[in-house]
Amino acid sequence: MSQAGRPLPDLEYADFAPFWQGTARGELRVPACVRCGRRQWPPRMACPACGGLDFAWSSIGDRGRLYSWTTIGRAMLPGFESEVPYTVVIVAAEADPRIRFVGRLDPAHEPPAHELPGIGDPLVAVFVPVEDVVLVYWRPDPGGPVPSAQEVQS
Amino acid sequence: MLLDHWSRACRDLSSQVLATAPQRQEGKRVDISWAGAAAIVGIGMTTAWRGSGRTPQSLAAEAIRAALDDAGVDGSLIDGLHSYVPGVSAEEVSTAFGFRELRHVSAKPMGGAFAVASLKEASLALATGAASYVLIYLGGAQRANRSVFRMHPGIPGQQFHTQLEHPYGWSRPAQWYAVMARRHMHEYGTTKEQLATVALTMRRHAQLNPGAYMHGRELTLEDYMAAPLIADPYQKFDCCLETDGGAAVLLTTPERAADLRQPPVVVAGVAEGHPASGDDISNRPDWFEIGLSRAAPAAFAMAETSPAEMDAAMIYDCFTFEVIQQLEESGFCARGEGGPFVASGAIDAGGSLPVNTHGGLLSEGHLAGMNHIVEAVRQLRGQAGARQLARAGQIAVTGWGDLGDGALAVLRGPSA
Repeated sequence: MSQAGRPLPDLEYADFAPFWQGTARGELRVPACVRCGRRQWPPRMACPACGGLDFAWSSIGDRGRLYSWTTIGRAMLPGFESEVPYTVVIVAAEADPRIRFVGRLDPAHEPPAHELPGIGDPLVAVFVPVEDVVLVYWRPDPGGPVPSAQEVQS
Repeated sequence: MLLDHWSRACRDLSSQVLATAPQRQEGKRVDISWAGAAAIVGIGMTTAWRGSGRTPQSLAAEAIRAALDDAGVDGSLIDGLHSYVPGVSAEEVSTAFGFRELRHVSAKPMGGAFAVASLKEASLALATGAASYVLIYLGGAQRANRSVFRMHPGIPGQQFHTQLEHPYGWSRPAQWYAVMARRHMHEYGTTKEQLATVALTMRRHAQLNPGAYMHGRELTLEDYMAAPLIADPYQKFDCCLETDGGAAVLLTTPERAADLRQPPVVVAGVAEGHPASGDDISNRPDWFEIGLSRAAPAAFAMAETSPAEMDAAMIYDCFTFEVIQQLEESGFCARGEGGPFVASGAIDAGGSLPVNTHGGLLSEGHLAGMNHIVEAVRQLRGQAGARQLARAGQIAVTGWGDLGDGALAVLRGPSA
């Protein structure tokens, strides 16, 4: 990875630091409210379910399903000029589909070499070091469960 | 002398307060309605340019001057200002024009929903007496000064976007709303051809509007399909223009409006709404439950009318799919039926619900939806020239902004 000027997260920003500490270990971690147990993403100042202020972070696994996607044809941020076209994915966590991550389809699985996965298809997280942070890409998970039509609609 | 001045000022103030204080009877609060409390009496708008070389201040000033002249109202009467943020400030405007009576300023932090939501602020101010003559205005030079707008400083939840989204190259409205469009296509079978219908209809409408940036520039389906990819399913012509321009709308009470130069257009009902997660799209439980889903029924109920009674709609067309989505959430068709609705020709100037007879943000220019209010007023007054609708008594105007904030107004003209 050598996209100069590409925006990267601030690892010292306290609200998200546990997430990036997790990806550095190959783990997707999200906060859950200590009071009511409800997971939330992105991490907010209070729990939308009960108003609690204390959160405990834990792994949500590395599996998900494609919720939606866009293939970007025009770079609008520095460092992405040489990347276009690239595909941004919204992935619902298999362990709790209310939690959805914004990520990137693994370039090794992009068209024209591969077809885009379909909405509802199983994906698995890929942990990609870029400078001092580990980003999360997603690739098709051939071993993943086949979704029922009902699940895809939900 | 000084004491006289003070006692007079205090007397004026107390009579004003007494006249407008919330009415309480036997301990019960009586709600003050803002339905029909405001009338649009003046409109002003520059044409839409690219690379005008002008500042937002100069563009706003031209529009404000035109709105005051259109109404025949002296600037010394203006006591309320509603501004777009980030943009030309109320302080700059009031100082430049000498609005010494200014006593009510607001700026709705709702992106492109600001214009219609400000009609609500103006109605509230006029209903309560907080202001007597209110200007909503905008001046923007997106092409001349794009870096000012690039990072959208007004967008809520900045930390989510810069920290969790920018690293993956997802940072701009076209890219955000593209995933909503793609999900709608998956759930409801909405097609690229239906998106094309929106773009081509807006462009056709602009051919009857000499002030439109795309006037004289027709668009074919082949051109549309061959355009560069921006963010699938959006290609170039699915995205609104970026233009320089200014617009202003002047409102006062219907009573005062009766004595002014133009036929008044009454804000019969107006409401705003916000999605479950106004700071984030990706984790919103229901992607199609937006601010407009709540604003629209409230506004129609306030105006004691319904979507079916509208003679036209001005829909905030930042992108083609958002027209389809807002037609659904406004109640012009059921959720999921927006694609077939536009494909039927309903939104054409000659259809059952003419949409954006000026060409909209897609083909007239990007004036953050102020141009949609101006167009509705022109139609309702019967001043829309070659594109005048045969029947224009009531028109709905929508606003969409930030990550799904919404507003809807029902405007009613003299022929309603």
